[in-house]
Amino acid sequence: MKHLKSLNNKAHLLDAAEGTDEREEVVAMQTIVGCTATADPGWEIDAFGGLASLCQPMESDLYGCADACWWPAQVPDTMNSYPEWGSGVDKVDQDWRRIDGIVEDDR
Amino acid sequence: MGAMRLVEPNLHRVDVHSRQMLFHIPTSGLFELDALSRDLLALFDREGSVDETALQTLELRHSKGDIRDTVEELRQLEVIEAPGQAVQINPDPVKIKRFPLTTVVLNVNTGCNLSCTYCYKEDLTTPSKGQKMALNTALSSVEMLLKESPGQPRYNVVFFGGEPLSNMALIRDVVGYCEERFATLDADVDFTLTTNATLLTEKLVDWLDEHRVGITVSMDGPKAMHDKNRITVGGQGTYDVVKRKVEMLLARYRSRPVGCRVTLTRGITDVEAIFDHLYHELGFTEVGFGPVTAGDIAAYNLTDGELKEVFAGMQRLGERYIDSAIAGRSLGFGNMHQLLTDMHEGNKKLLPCGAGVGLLAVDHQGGINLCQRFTGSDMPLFGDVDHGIDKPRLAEFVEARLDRSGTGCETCRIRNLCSGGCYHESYAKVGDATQPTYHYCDLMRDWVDFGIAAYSRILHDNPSFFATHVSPRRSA
Repeated sequence: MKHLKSLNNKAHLLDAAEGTDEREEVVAMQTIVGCTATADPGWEIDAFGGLASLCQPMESDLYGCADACWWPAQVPDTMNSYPEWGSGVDKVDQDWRRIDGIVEDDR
Repeated sequence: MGAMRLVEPNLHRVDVHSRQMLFHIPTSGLFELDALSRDLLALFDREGSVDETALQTLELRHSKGDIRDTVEELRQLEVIEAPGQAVQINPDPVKIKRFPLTTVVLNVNTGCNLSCTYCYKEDLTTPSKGQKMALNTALSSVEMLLKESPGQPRYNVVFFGGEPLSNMALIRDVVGYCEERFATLDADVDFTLTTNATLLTEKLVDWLDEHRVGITVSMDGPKAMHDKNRITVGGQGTYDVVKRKVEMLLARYRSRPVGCRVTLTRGITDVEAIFDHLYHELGFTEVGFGPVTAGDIAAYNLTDGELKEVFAGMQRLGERYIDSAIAGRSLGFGNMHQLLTDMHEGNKKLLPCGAGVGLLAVDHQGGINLCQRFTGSDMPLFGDVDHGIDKPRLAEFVEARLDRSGTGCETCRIRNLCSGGCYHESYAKVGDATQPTYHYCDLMRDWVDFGIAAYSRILHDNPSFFATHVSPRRSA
């Protein structure tokens, strides 16, 4: 689209689908089962958001395991022990080769 | 082409400093308008209906071709309609046949060692009278989850109460059972619980850590605020013991971030002071706020004025979140993080939450409820764990909420984000969970507008924030 500048992810998808028959699919896309926007009734179940519609690729979850999120996995904890672990390698889908391991003796 | 009109229910404009954003309601797509699209929409605002002659007035500033392109873009988005063009406001009604359950909430004990004045739990009682869930019921619940919704890659088992830690024997048995059971299915299982923290011990924390049981602590802020409502059965404030336990928990527990849930009730509205204490002083990873507006005991509900104060405080705290985000840091303000995640992805919710579709709660006797808030209520059960889900009735309920026709949500600009609000709030307020919650619609719309502006500002000043802190770490 020329006169509407896409800002969020959904807008970019809509833009990419312009003039194709995929637009209806984009309209239906990302209809999630999640908590309502604020007063957040389901929040107490998990402090860090949804219990359904969880994201699929590991890349989108890696730091969810490491810091301010909710996912449990064996990765270094960036909140307390290894705050710098993710520095400079923030975009997991691109940086994954550069993400380093940690040997406990290095502390 | 005849005269065209705006499709008001499909667009919402938000001014952000000198820029103007268009929130595309049917998709939750967010766009920035250029000078021409702004002028064009303003023309519709002035004229109501716009024909070729009216469009020509724009030719003083814009080329004919550009005007035509812009009209076409907005028509494709169904933001403007030409005569004879069918536009859609809400999705067509659907029949619910499948329940992709991933989560079961077990009400492991109706008893609680605290008696917080505002507690919404309808089956709440003291520890001595607590009805504990039997192991058989718990295991049947897990089996029901698997039977009703096989083949999911990941399941969640949530322990709720009462105070869940007052039935640790059951939790240990269920966790042990699930770890084996789900391993044979090649599915992951995730455990979480919400606790008042008072019963935590070092040994218990280590066990929870070892089994990666996610922990949310209910705590309401600094001593004076916390002790106002969060009291023992005997009436004593619990701040001192909770603080000590939380410090021990945060020092020992490593497997997952620990969040804090704050309940805001009458007289407790200072969101910023509460956040500063819990986040900066005690060190929770994330702090989220739940305002009580529809509790059973009206005296604890925030007044309309207080609710306004709460949202104003959330916006002030939100401004700090924005400043941090622009500086490249993520502030652990849960409500804001969730709002921005929805904004960034362009998430849409046809239902307000997963209750009844992705999640069900089991009461201590095995009865199936929409969520943990309904256990012990007068709302009829949706089956039980031995005989399975009463699917026709559950479908009927969900379909009633999916159908927005004739409700205040039908053309509301945040209908795909709020989706009518919490079932239990409606149930508590008007006795009917199929109705939307109408008592803070204006505040919710303001909050979403704040989110649109916040998102646009952060994206403008620090576009990498979302790729770094929101997308990889998103929660929904």
